[in-house]
Amino acid sequence: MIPVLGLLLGVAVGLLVSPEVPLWLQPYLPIAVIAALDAVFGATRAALEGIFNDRVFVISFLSNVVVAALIVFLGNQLGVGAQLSTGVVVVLGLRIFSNVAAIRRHLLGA
Amino acid sequence: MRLPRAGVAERNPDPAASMALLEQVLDPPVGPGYQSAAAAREEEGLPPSSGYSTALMFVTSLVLGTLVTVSAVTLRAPDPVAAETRAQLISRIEAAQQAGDETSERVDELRAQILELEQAQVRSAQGPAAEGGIAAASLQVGAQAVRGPGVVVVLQDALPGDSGSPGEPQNPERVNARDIQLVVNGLWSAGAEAVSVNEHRLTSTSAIRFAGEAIIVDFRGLAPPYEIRAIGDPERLAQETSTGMTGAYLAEVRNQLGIRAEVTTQEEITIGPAERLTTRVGRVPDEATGQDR
Repeated sequence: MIPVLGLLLGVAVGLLVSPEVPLWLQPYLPIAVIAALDAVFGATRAALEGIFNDRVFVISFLSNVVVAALIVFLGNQLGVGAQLSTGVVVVLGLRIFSNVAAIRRHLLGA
Repeated sequence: MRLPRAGVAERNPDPAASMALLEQVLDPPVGPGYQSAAAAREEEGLPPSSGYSTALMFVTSLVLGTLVTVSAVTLRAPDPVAAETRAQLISRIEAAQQAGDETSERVDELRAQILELEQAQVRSAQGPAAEGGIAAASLQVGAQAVRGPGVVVVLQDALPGDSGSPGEPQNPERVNARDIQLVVNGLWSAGAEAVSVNEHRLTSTSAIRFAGEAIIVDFRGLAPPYEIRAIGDPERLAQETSTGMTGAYLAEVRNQLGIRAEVTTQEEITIGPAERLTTRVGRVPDEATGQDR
């Protein structure tokens, strides 16, 4: 219940405050969202398997976002930002899909 | 000196070992962090899962919700702004087009008036015989719409062929200003009384030119297909565009370059008046003013 409450509150804060994101930060937003989604799906799977741990979730969430942003930042500095962004999206997308497949097996048994 | 022989590598007993990476990609185990954390908790005598209702989870989900919402809002925001600008531009274009249409209607009206006045003046000054002269002259300079039998030549760029490897940029042959000039000149020489290219009536001061990739007739860019209409003796025009010089040229570009050229003879073609009809009057400048400048 508490995570759902926090999520709703976060959405409300984002909508009401709607902070101005500086331009240099904007390329990292989609990557950060995908990294966060990966952590969320991993956590969902762990929860379904009964081994969820909040500390592991927070650490994987933060490290995913930070590492993904770092890779894209490095790519931008080296002039291959678009390619590295694609790489990050592909890898995280693969992980999201495989986690979703595991979740599906748990929920639907198929 | 002999180098010691490298040891023979041991074979991996598991035949599926080389598939490990693939397996990990396709069906990865749940994050190893969760496994070891669960094991540690069990050792301490706690249940493997820490539960979801903790302060840490609250803060994390708050951050997550904010991150997703802010991203969505930020990355979506430019669209409505652009849409508004686009709508404004569209309305301005429409207003300008309407104004242009109205003006061109007015031009037509005024032209008809001018013709009437000219005819009236000539009739009173030189008698009814001269009246026809004005009409004939206005036909010659392209001040009047013309209707009659003639031919229509349609030129189109070549289709992109299927030769060459896929992904390679193809540059199909394009119709250029020379082709149109040649066709138009052929039609004039075959006795055409009025010629238009894509609705632009050609007059004695018209120019067909090439600017970069675009064909320009009377300073207006044209877009393919290029439709050349000519009014005149249909037999002569048809002969010129089939077996005459123009016909031979069209057949050559059709066969050699793949440019699509079609000629049809029509019973009735209408060609509107020319848009640009200005008379320029040359004058020898005064000696005094001439030296001043």
